[in-house]
Amino acid sequence: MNWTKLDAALAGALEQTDQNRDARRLPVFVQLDAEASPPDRETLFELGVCGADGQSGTGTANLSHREVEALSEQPWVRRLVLSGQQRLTGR
Amino acid sequence: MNYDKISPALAGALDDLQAHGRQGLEPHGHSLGLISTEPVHKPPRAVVFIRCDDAANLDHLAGEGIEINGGGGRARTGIVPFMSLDRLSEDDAVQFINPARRLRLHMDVAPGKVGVPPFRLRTGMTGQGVVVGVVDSGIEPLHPAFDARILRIWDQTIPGPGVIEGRYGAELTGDLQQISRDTVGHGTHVAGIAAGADPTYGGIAPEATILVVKTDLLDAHVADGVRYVFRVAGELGLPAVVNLSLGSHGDAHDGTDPLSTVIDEQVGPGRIVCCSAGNEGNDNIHGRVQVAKGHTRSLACSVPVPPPNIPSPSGPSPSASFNGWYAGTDQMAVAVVAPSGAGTPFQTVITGGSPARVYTLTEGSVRIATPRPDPANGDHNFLVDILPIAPTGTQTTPGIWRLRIRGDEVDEGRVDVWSIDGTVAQFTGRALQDSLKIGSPGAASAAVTVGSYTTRVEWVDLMGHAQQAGFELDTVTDFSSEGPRRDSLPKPDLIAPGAMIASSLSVNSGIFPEMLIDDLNTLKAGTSMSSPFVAGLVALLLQREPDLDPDAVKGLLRAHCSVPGRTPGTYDPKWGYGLIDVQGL
Repeated sequence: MNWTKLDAALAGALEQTDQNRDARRLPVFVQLDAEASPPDRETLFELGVCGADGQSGTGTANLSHREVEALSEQPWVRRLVLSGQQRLTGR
Repeated sequence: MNYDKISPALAGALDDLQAHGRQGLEPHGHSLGLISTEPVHKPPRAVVFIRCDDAANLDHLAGEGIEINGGGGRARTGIVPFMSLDRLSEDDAVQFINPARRLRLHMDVAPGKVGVPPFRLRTGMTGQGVVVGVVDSGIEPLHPAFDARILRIWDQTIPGPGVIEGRYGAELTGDLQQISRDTVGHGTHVAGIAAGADPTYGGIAPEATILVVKTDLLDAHVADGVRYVFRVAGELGLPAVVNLSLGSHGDAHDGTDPLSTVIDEQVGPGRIVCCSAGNEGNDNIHGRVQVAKGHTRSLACSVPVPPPNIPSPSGPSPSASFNGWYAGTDQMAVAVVAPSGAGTPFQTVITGGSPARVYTLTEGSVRIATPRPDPANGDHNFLVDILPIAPTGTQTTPGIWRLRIRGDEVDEGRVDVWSIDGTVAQFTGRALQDSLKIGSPGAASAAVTVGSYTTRVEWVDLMGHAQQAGFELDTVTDFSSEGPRRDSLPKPDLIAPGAMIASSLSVNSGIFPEMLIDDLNTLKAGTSMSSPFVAGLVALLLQREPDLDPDAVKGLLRAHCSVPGRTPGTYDPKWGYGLIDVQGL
């Protein structure tokens, strides 16, 4: 695991998935390096990452602990950020 | 009686008639078209709209006092004795029965107060040919305000194959849209403000095409929703404005978070995003300390009694969470002190392995994460979660918890911290800062971020009771979140009417009687309401100039905003560049 690529929230959440490393329970943003190639983006698509198959630098997916670990080791992945909960701004 | 075909207002009047006789109809008379409620020899009757097929023949309903006017169409008018509603509701040709409503002398005040009617009169703009995207709690697909203009609903919350942007949820068109329900009511109200076509409480762009994403509010899925709206609009060759009346405080408050990044990537000519500023103007969610090298500063936080913790596969929910940011050139250590005074050790930036550590105190478990600088902005982020005590799950002790920040290497020394859920924990004491309260996605550089202005504080509800909201009229609403961004970029961009705003009611949502103004519309307040007001305005501008980009839109809006008593073009952390004046746009 390349922990330097994980944001603080994802690092904290990984502790809670340690029991089941294959459950796809982590909603994440996958931010790509500028050098990400079409085959790299295809790899992401196979993993279920959406939005990173064109020119966009950011994809989204539900990933497992193991998948986060694997992606963190890829040189073309710049950052992995845990998706957070938004709130509606009506009172 | 088929109550599914009778509007709530009419059903309420019938119930009161049956329970209290003619006297029971008196409070309904001021708002509904009623006849013979006084004691006379004729039965009490209601003037009604009857919804039916365009070519439906209703002649067989005549008799028993039912009079239906000629003219045909999908909405017939007539007079119906209350005692004949039963028969009418059971007829197969009748789809729905609404009471006629008394028009009020004043239209909804908000558009008039900022010059929308003269603008529309002068320009003829209606939003036609523009897509208004609403990423929210869903929409009431059968509401007459949206009649036939909802293009598609991507409901992210139901099982299905999803769409290109996300392989979850289901995309619904035509009659299948009725599968999706807005049980919160927020999205329906927002859509009505931007693009509703109600004759009394209509939206700003009443002929815009509406594209809806019912989201589960995960910011990754909100990002997917933004991409979806722009992709569909692009396929249709139409400009689009997306409204996001939502927000959070788990980000850097400088527009570098992933959702804000996606927004900045997606916008362009004919692609605009409007966001609400947030409603934390009265909440103590932001604290700041200035730390010198070798010194320690504290932020005091009031953590209330936590709710019962429901076990979940992802672990216990935090009682309180704090999100801190400081310059990448500094090195701070973080510790947490419980109400009793017992505390964790100081945790420095962890450069090898997991940056998260859990400490068990008598009054709660504390998880502190102190990773290396975030490559998105080069700054340090730390997260503090106060958790139930593992493994027993004993709840945390309420009271004043302190975050202690020690300056190990200091160049700038400024540390900003946010309580991620201001309804749970708030700062108190000297570190409290009434600023920088606009988080993602309102913090997105390219988004048009909108605060709230109060245009109405009194109204008469559906039952005839006078109601009041506790806001000061004709000024910025006190709950509207203050900027600027953490990097000092001015936010919000402007303010627009956000309290109390009348708009479409979702029949599947909870109803607050004191907020109902008729059987189709309800009042709400929030920057959630001001953002779609501007989104509707943007739709009108895009109809006129389909290639406007975010900078051009902001420039146009800013040139027609002002803060009372200030030089035009002056920025204020609460007002932004001021209240919009539409008529000159």
